[in-house]
This record gives sequence, structure tokens and C-alpha cells, in this order.
Amino acid sequence: MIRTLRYTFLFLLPFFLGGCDKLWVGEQPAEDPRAVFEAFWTEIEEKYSYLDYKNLNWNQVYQTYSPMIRPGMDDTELFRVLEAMMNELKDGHANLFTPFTYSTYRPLFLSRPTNFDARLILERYLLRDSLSFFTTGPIQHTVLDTLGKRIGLMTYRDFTQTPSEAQLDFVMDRMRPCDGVILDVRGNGGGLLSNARSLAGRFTDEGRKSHYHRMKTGRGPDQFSRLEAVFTEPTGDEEHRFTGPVVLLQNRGSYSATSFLALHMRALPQVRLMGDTTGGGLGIPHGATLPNGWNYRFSVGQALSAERDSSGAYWNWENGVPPHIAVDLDPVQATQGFDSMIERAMIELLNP
Amino acid sequence: MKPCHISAQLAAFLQNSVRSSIVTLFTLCLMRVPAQAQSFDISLKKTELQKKGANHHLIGGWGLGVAAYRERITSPRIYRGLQAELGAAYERQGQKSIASYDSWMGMGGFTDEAEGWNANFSGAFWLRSHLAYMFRLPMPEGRWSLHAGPSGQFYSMLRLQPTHGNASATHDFSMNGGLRARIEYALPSRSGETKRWFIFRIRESHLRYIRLGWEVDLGLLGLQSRPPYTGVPNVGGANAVAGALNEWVDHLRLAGLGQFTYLNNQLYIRYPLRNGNSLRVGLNSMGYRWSLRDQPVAVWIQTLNMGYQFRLDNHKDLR
Repeated sequence: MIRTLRYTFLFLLPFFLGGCDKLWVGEQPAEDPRAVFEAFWTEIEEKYSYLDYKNLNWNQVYQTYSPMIRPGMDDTELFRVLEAMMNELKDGHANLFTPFTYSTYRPLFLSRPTNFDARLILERYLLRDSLSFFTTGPIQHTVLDTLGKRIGLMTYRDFTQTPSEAQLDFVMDRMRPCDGVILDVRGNGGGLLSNARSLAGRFTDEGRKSHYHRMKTGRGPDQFSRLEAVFTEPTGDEEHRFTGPVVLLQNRGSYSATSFLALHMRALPQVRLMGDTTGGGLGIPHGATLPNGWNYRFSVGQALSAERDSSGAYWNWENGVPPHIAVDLDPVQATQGFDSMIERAMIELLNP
Repeated sequence: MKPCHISAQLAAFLQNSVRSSIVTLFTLCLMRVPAQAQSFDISLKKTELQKKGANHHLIGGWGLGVAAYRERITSPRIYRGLQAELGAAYERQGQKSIASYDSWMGMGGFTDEAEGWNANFSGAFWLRSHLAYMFRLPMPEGRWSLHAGPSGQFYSMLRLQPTHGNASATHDFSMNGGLRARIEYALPSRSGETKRWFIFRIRESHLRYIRLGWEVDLGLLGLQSRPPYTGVPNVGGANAVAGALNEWVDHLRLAGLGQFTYLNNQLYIRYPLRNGNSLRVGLNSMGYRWSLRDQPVAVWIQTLNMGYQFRLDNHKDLR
């Protein structure tokens, strides 16, 4: 009997060993406001990639916002505190998502002129010759006959939309005979990086170093992966590329993947960036969850210039890619039906 | 009732059902042992298995169960859910050793059980395989057998959570060397079979063995891969595939017991059929934990699996 009991115990042992999931994964974390705040602050301290670059004293930020946390505060109150703390990063890629709202750093765009009027572009340029106007996937394009020269105008407003190779071929076929091309990405808030790369590759026949990229790899402020050189590589067939003069129109709303497009285009000698500095957003964001189930994201990567400055350091593009030619949209001309940025781009292309 | 609570309750119900049913079945089997043991003078030392040489088995099966994981790179919360598995195994049973290989692939749906509308959902896929060569160890009693020996273990898991953007897919694997031990009890069972003789049908009794076993795999040393520190491969690089590969290599580590824990244990019953094949029911629990602070992960998977074990050899007289 004792032997039977002994063996029975032996056989039941695995149930106790294996059946206890808490033994392996532990308990759910505390969800109170204090626990959520501490976890959020710590995650940013350990993983955000621009604390040093932005000269942020994150401990000081803790001193500012920690006293605002009190037991029993409701979700909206907690959200407002966390939102304010996150906005100290001044980063469009820093967002806190809850079921009832989400946060974003709006001064990034609102502190500068819009420099963009979609209706003006559609009415006065794209539809100037309706027979020449096409909407090919996410790209709207036309060819403008200006003083006997052919200027291609392409607009791409959303990099979350991906054109097929055949669609890109069609667009580039129409651009190829042009004397110059205006690529208008104002207001393009980003999306898939691959779309920016494949588009930039349609404007070069050889690979050119565009920038360096690296990711956060540890808790220390200097712990990053090795620098990886990024090139603007040709895409598509040779007969479906345009290597003539190009003006890229950008504004502060050109963000994230669109800033990467600006970097890729900037590496090409026949390309001029025009307009305002892009919104930046060159730190690849990661996503994660807080102890109470809310989601958030912030930058964990860095894009650095291909060249070094006089001190031997790389430029950091987080605050945006500056234009070669700074131009704002003239509101007076806009009321007269002219987009001063497109007009300036045409002058640049007609008088290289 | 909210979906996450339903899922959690279903998981708990299934877990409790599995546990209680197996324990009950096992207890019933134990209660029958003395009576049947008196009917047959058996000893594993004298079984036909030892006389005939090696047996080869091929096992196919499926399983249902519960799983839980915690991936701190993307969330401090524990995800729990239901899961299903498919698997195959091969086993060569010799007189003094057992060589075996098994591989199970599974998938599951999970929730982090956060309160109300804060709950998040995810999906996961995994593969776990074991390769072992065990030697028969001496046991005092004939109906018990104990095997132990070196084993290789492979575990890999891919977790998907669309709300995490660039970190929506995190992946890790563990390739270990370790030990496996198996203790098995052969429960004698009378089995009836009728044969035609002239115009009569004659019932013949055969001695069969219901086998109850417990098998444990423990990882001792292994190559462990972890997702990047932020859960995001270097997608900003020109070649995302090469970047991801570099990241993966960067996060590959050789680790020993203590830095990680891998434990797979299975309690099973193998019931012989008339045709020489067997039915196999097992309760498998796998736990994996990578303990270093930067990128901890913990996974626990428990499955009630059912399999059909084919005899590949021609020792049809062996029951």
C-alpha cells in the first residue's frame, strides 16, 4: 500500500510541476496608476533613443510628473499626466494609445506654416489638363507644358499605400520624356519605409550612400547597434527610371518614411529638396504595452548623416531633413490660384 | 461577460478537466493492478521485447490545451489562451536503450486579461522538438523500467500582436543539450480476441501491457536567441532582411542552466490495440524561461494530446 502511494505521488508530481503556469510566467503586474507611471517612465529612460540628443534630463521629468500621480485617479486623469510626460520628448513618433483616445505631439506640425493646399494643387495643376491627369494607385500625376518644356508633377500623400511595380512603371514611363519632375510629398505623414525606398530608386541608375542607421541595444544612453550604411539603390528597370533634374517638395507634415525619402533623394546629385524642413521622425518606433493594457510607442532608432561635420560628428536628422531651397507657400499667391512652391520648383527646373 | 474573461475561464476549465480526468483514470488503473498482476506471471526482464530485439514505432497525434507567456520586451502583462498542436514522433525501443525523436507544432490565441476594453489580443505559433538516446537503468521491480540519457531540445516561438507596430512580431528559439529521463510502468491487461476454428469462434486471451509513463526533458546548455532589445529589428537599414539577420546573430547567446530553464515533462498512457498498434494519451507540459533582465521571456504550454502509435516492425506476436 505504501509502495502504491509512493508511486502514485511520483506520478502526480508532474501535474503539480507542469500545471502551475504561475511557476513559469508569474503574476499579472499591478495596474494601479503608480505602477503604470513607473513602468512608463522606466521604459522611456531605458529605450528611447534621443534622450541624449535632445538633452533631456529624464530624472527631472520624473520629479515633475511623479507628484501628479495619486491613488484612485481615473483613467482620463492618468492619461493626461502620461501624455504630458511623453510630450516632453517632442517626438511625433511618441504616442500613447488608450481605448478612448491617443496622444501625439502636435506642436511639431502646428508651430510652422502648413505650406500645403491640396485643393489648390488638384484644381490648378493636376487638373490643368484633365486628359493628362492620372491617379495610378496612390500616386496622382500629370505632365505640365510650361514655356515649351515638359514638367512632370507627381504627388504621393500616403506611404501606407503601396503602388505595384506595374503602376510605378506606368508613372515613370510618363515622367521619362519630361525635362524635369516635381515630386510633391507635402503632407505625407509616412508609412512603409519600403515605399519610400522603391520610389527613390526610380530616380537613380547607381547606388549612392544616403545615411547611416542604428538601433538602441541596451539601457545605457550610448548603447546602440553598429552603424549600418543605407544606400539609395536603383529600383525597377532602366527604362522605367528618371534621372533628369528633380525637385522634391516637402513641408513639416512630411514625416517618418517621408523624411527617409528626403534622405534618399538628397543623396542624388540631380535632386533639390525644396520647401520647409521635414517633420523628422527618423527614429524607428517600437510598440509596447503598459501594465494596465494601454499601448504606446516611441523612437528606438537613429538616422545619421552619410557625411560628418567639421568636428567629425554625424548629423542627426531627428528634427527633420532641411531643404536645399527654403520656400513657404505664399498665401496671397494661393488666393490667386498659384502654389508658390510649385512655381518656384518650375523655375528651378527650367533654369538649372 | 467579456471575451477575455470567457477565454480565461475556458482555459481554466480545460486545465482543471484535463488534470482531474487524467488523475481519475490513473487512479482507476492503479486500483486494478493487484488482481491482474496475479493472473499473469510477468516481468519485463522476460518480455518478448527483450527476446526479439528492437521495436520501431511511428506516432502521429494532436493535442488541445492551454498556454501562457510573458514577453517583457513588448509587455509586462501575461498572455493566456487556448492552443492546438499537431505532432509526430519516431521511437526505436531496444533491449538496453531507446532512441526517440518527436516534434510538435502548435498555435494559439491569447489575451492579456487587462481590465475591460484595455485588453489586448495576440497570436502565437511554436515548434518544439526533442531528440533523445536513453539507456535502460536497473530497477528493483520487474514491471518498472527506467531510462535516462542525453537529449537535444529545440523550441521556437513566434508571437504576433498587430497593435505593437514595428515590434508586432517577436521571436525566440532555444536549442539545448540536456537530459531526458523516462520511468514507465507496464500494467498487465487481459485482452480478448476471437478466432474462427471450423464452425466455432474461439476466444483467446492475450497478455498486453498498458504502459503508464512519465518523461522529463531538462535543458542544461544551449544556444538562445532573443528578439532585439527593443523588439524591433534594424528595419531602418537598406536591407531589412540582412539587418534583421544581423540583429538575430547579435542576440544569439550561449547559456547554461540558471540563465535559462527548459523543462518538458509528459505523463502518458499507452494502450495496446489488437493490431499491434497503440493509442497514446499524454499530458504534456513545457516551460521555458530566459532569465536575464534585459530581455526576459517565459512560456508555459500544457497540452492534452492523443496519438496513434504504429508498429513499424513485424513482431506481431508481441503485445
